[in-house]
Formats: sequence, structure tokens, C-alpha cells
Amino acid sequence: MKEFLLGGGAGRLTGFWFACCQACFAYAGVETIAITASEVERPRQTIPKAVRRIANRLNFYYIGAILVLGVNLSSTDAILEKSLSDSTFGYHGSFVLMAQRAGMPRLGDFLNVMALGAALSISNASLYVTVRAALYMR
Amino acid sequence: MLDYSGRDDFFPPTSGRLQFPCQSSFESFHWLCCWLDLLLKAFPLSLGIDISEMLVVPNKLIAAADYMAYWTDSVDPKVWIVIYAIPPIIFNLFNVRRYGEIEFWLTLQKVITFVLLIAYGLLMAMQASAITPWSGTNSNYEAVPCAATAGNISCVASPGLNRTCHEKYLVT
Repeated sequence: MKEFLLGGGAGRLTGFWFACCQACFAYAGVETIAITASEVERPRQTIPKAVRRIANRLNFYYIGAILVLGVNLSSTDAILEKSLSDSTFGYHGSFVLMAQRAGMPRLGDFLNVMALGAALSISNASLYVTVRAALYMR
Repeated sequence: MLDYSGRDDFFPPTSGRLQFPCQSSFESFHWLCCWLDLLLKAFPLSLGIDISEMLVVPNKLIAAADYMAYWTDSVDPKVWIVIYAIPPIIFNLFNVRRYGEIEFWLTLQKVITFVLLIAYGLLMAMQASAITPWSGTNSNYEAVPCAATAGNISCVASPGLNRTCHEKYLVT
């Protein structure tokens, strides 16, 4: 395990804790399925199925993404290290950086488009949840 | 022991009206009401979820503006935020069937991209990329195991690869 900010065992704990804090944000949003439960057909059948599917997908996608990034990007990458200390530095995500490091800027463009679509999708879903939560506030 | 008599809405009835899910899915938090109070049934819970989800929408719009900064720095991020705030609002004006259809396709592109990305990322680690077409074909690399590849693909570490990297990302 890499040391982060500090040295020795404290540095490893800091790195682990930093990664944990980042990972928590990735898991936020799975509660959306509970909000949609009131508007689906045959909720008793579909909701448990969907929840199980979410768990399987999260395992597959997140572990796959971590594997791909860990294999293709160095943790001592100069851009990654600079982006930690300098927030105004042009750092546009690990996957884009991975594509650029592999010498494929067009793949980086494509991944950026997809990340943009994902951000729009999440804002769309969050707006839905916001509206429904406000609707049921009584 | 607490006395639950008279509060028949705590537990799903054996027959009769549908308890799960009811009109508001927040009302299905039976156990919260068991240990705390009926007042907590809908309002504070909805308020908490509402506030936390309200923060996600601007968060993702700012993220979208950041993604656009990858292509151009000349446009003010405010412009992108305004532009990308419009589609979610329009989608949410539809009924829930249309909304679900749109959200399905938006999610499908995410899923397909991710599956392809994972597959291609693993191939990339086996040195399948523009600068390392396949294992053994590029003289810049030796055929090394996957984990040892990390760090080799670096503009800093291998100056010979600098020209293929994005000009903006050349760090010395």
C-alpha cells in the first residue's frame, strides 16, 4: 500500500482513509430505487430483482474499474500527484488520463463524452428523487 | 417493552390493504416508527433525503462543466451549467413512463461504455494500444506482466513517447 501525505504506517492509514472517503461517494445513490418503488408495476417482484441486480453490477463495475485503473495508471504518475496539490491544474479524470497515457487522445474524448452523459443521467435521477421526496413530504 | 396496541399500521397486516409500498415509500419505514415516533414517519425523512439529493444536482452540473473544460477553457463554466441544467428539467416534466424510458437509455450507454472500457482496459494492460499495438511488436516495450506495466506508460518515464501524449499534459 502506498503512503499518502505522511510517512510510514500513518501514511498508509491516511491513504486508505482517503480512498474510503472517495468510495463512499460512489455508493451514494443506490437508495434511489426505494423512491421509485411507489411508481413501478408489480413492485413486489421487480424491486427485489432490481436491488439484487444493483448489488451484482456494483461489484462488477467498481471492481473492474479499479482493476483497469490500477493496472493502467501508475500511482506515482506526475499528473495525478500534481492534481492532488494543485486543484486548478488541468486534470480531467483518471480514465481520460489513462487513455492519454496510452497515446489515444480520441479515446479520451470518447470517455469524456460518456462521463458527461453519466453526469447528466445522475443529475436527471437526482432531480427525480428530489421532486418525489418533496412531493411525499407531509 | 413498548406497547404497540392501537398502532396497527406498524406491521403489515396478514390480509387486506396493501402495505408495501404505499403511496409514499417513506411510509414503509416501519421500524423507524417503532423505535422513535410516528412524527418521524414521512416529513423529516423526506426533508433529509430531499436536501441531500438537492445537493447532487448542482454537484453533477458543475462536474459537467468540468468535463467541458477538457475541450475548451475559453467558455465560462456558468454557460455550461445553464445549458446542462435544461435537459434534466425537460425530462422531469414528462410522465414517469417517458422519464423511465429516457433514463433507461441514458443508463444503457453508461453500462455499455463501462463493459467495453473494462474489457479494453484489460487488453490495454496487455499492451494493446496505439503506441503498443500488441505484445512484442513495439521496441519501446518489453513483454512484461500486467502489474509491472503500470508506470511504464508515462510521458515522464519514457521520453520517446512524448509526442503521442496530449500536448497539454507534458509534465517535466
